[in-house]
Amino acid sequence: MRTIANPVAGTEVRVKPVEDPGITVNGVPATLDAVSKADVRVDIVGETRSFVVEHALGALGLCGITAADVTGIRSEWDFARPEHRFCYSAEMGPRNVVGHPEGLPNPALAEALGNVEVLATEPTTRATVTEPVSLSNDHGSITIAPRELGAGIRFSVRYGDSTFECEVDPAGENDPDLIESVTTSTTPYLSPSEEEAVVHSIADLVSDIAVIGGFDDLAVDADLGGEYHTLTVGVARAARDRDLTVERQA
Amino acid sequence: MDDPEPAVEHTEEVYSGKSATDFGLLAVALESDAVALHYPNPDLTAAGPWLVLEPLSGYISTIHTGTGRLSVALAYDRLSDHHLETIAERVNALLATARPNHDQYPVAEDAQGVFRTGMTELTPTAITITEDSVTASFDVSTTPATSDAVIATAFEDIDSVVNVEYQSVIGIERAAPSEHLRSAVEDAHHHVLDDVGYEWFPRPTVFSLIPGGEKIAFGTAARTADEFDAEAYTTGVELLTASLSNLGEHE
Repeated sequence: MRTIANPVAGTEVRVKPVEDPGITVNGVPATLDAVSKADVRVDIVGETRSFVVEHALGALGLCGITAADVTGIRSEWDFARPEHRFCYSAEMGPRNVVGHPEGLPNPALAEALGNVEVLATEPTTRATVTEPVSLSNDHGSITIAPRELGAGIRFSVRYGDSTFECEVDPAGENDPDLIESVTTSTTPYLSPSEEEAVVHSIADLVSDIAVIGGFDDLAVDADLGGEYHTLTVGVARAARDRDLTVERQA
Repeated sequence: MDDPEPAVEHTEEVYSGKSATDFGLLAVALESDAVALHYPNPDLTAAGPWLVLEPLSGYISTIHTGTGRLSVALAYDRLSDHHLETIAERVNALLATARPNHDQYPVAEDAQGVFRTGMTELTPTAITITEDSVTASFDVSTTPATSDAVIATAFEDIDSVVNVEYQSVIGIERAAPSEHLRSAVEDAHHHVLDDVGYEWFPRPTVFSLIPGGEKIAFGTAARTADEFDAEAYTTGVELLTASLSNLGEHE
């Protein structure tokens, strides 16, 4: 597992080191079982509900952090945000919303993670699938396929007329330029262009497939559109539900 | 002379017309074993808890926004400001400030109310010009963040504004349902829709009039819909039946 030596802060969140594997958000493990909503955003629910977790989890995955305690720190309401209206209605606080207000995969968190010492513990296991798993709907499609041990995840993504390809190891070192370009790209729902949207989608894919889904070595081919977290979380769920996930000793 | 457009038409599969959601939700209520059905005028002295059916697209609501009136007086000297262009410039500056604006979200194109539902909105209703005054009047949709100070601040940078008067008409209604009532309705939504979502209703309704906090609103069909179809009916019945069952008031 890989955690950080000291706490860091990003936009809307603080991240602390932990001794055990896995990432929690406001105390709830970021796992497929905890996902209660996956469409335009991803929410996880346990003792409490955390909204738009993909922004923080994407930054963590891009920076190769596999164990951390994420807590929301926002104290002011912005009722233009639907998630803030939800929280106010249900007597939760604004700190339950951990997504970035500008729809970015938390570039401040990624920068802070890049400047902090990472503590890596060996040995570890890495997950892939035993055979390709596909999912599609009216807005797009996605396939995750096996990849050799330690290869990381290769993303080949299309959004509208734009395409983007990259390599990410969610449990290792990654290209700082890639991290910066992804975390400074705006969500498709607010993005001025498909070119920017497709780059942003890498953070969502890392969040949903690597961090929440738990995969380390995959080839991901995606044609994204609409409420695409249905596909990105859905394909990880499909692999688990069909018992096509395998853990290998690194 | 033609007959006026009917408020609703009914086929086997759908209510349609400007009152379609009202009729559809009433049909949902009639299908349930609610202890008491209050329609069209609720007995506001009745004890709760209250389940209020509204076209909320499957969301739950505990917040209904409020309304207010705003008048903004502009500097005007009938001797020196008699050119229409001068008045128009000042009014246009005022209207530009009154338009919805947000640093991060495209609120101008937000026809669905994704962002604007939570924002203080000003709708111009009149520009009144007399011999010695120009006054712009607005209807105001209010949120918990709306206050006299917030509204006054919005206009403080316009030199020609000399006075701002805001009056609340119907306040924000924020219900405080008990854990029992909230859980009953949330669990029903989990059971029927697999998840719970909360959203505000963007204007006062009968919900706002019901005294006390032991109330909660939910229901199917979109607020702006002119149809209430079979799916909206079926899902609405399931949500209401499950909520009542969870409350222990359903045989």
